[in-house]
Amino acid sequence: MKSWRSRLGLLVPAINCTMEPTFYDYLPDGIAVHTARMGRHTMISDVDTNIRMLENAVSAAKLVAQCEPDFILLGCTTATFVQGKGIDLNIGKELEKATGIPCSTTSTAVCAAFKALKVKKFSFIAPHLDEIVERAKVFFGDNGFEVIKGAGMAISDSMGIPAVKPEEIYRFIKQNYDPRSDAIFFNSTNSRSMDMVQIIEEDLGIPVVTSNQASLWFVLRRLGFQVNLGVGKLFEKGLSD
Amino acid sequence: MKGWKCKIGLLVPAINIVAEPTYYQYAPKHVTIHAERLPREERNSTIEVHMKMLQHVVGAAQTLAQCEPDVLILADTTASFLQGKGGDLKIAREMEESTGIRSSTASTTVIEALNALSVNKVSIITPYPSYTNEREVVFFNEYGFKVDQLQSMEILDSLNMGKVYPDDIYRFARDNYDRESDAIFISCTNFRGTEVIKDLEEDTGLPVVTSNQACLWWALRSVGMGVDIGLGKLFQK
Repeated sequence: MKSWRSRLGLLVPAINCTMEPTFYDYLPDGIAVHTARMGRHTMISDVDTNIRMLENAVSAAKLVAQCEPDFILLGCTTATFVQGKGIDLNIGKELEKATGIPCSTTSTAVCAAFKALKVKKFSFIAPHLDEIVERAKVFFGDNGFEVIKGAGMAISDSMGIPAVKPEEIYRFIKQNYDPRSDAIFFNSTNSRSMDMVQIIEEDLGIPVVTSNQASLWFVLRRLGFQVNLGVGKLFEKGLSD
Repeated sequence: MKGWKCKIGLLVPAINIVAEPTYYQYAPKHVTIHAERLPREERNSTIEVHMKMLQHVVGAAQTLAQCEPDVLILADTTASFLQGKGGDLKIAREMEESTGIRSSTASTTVIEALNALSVNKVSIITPYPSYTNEREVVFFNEYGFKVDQLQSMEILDSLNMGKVYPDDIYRFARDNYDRESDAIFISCTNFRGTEVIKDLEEDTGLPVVTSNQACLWWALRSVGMGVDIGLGKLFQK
């Protein structure tokens, strides 16, 4: 099998053009990713569109379950944090119930990453609108991770987010992070931020977490792989509980 | 955009465990692949299961179109040859009309690949059950190809087709092709023939076409990428 080490099921927002190729860029040999998509009712990346997309999560999970993956990840941060603490865990449970396969979400993965890195306060930086940044402050704050700086690029067009170049992400982070942060987090599985993790960490001396990096790290650790992919301090860590 | 050269939208049967990693293995840099899955009523590869799966093609194509791929491909050979010559083109037309994106099917791209290689006579290697093989011969005959030989591993369970190792496909193909053929075609997007194209071409002297290779070739050529990725004689065309 191509997936002789492990097979991963991924649910992505239908508009996502970044997560699948990013996973394939970094995945170790013998681990394959198989994707199903959650349709969006608008091409605007706002709170409402993200919440309504979740109506398609169970059917997408059932689809990807047909290829018998070892784990299914709902690969969207925003949709799994905008409704507040615990909703991400509930989504994971609902998908598990529907498929009989271990399931989780990107927001759960990001919280696990913060825990592994012992983060108490961090900078939340996003391509998104302010309404999403505000929701993030609540979700992560309630989970015990204080957002001491929030900044968004105010992109509302769903196709605008994957169009932002990694270099632009680097510069935006540098202009907007708070140096007192225990970590910098850049939001969105549809953004090209993972390629910049190593460089930003070297330049700023602060651990960097991104949605795709945290997702990949979390899934690998949940599947029992201790491999260090060399993408930031996070990959030196295991799951903390 | 990560896929700034080309974004390929793939519709795969939900049980497919070969196509996505294979395209990512061979696609040039800055070409990205985005998949959506077509539900299967059951794992067994019957005509009825494939026909029912086709009812989901337009809906899945519309979902996939939201990531704005440059091309869409129905990456299922059986589903696209079952209805004979033209059945494949009709599916592609429906995908195009519902999305506005240039579309094709695995079987259509294989026909185009064999034509590009000036093939008249072909040996076909498949994992399929016999009733599927019969339909496949009809399809190729209707498109004007003589099928010298068709040998199948006769696997009923579609997911299990994806579990056959490439070295076993190599041996099976080398033991079963007709030396009079102009090319060997290894059918099925959930079958790892693509990984032994070069070995088979070197050892048999014939061009080797596979479903996934033909889809990738068509997608790249459709957007104007003439790159030779070194995956068989087809990519010299």
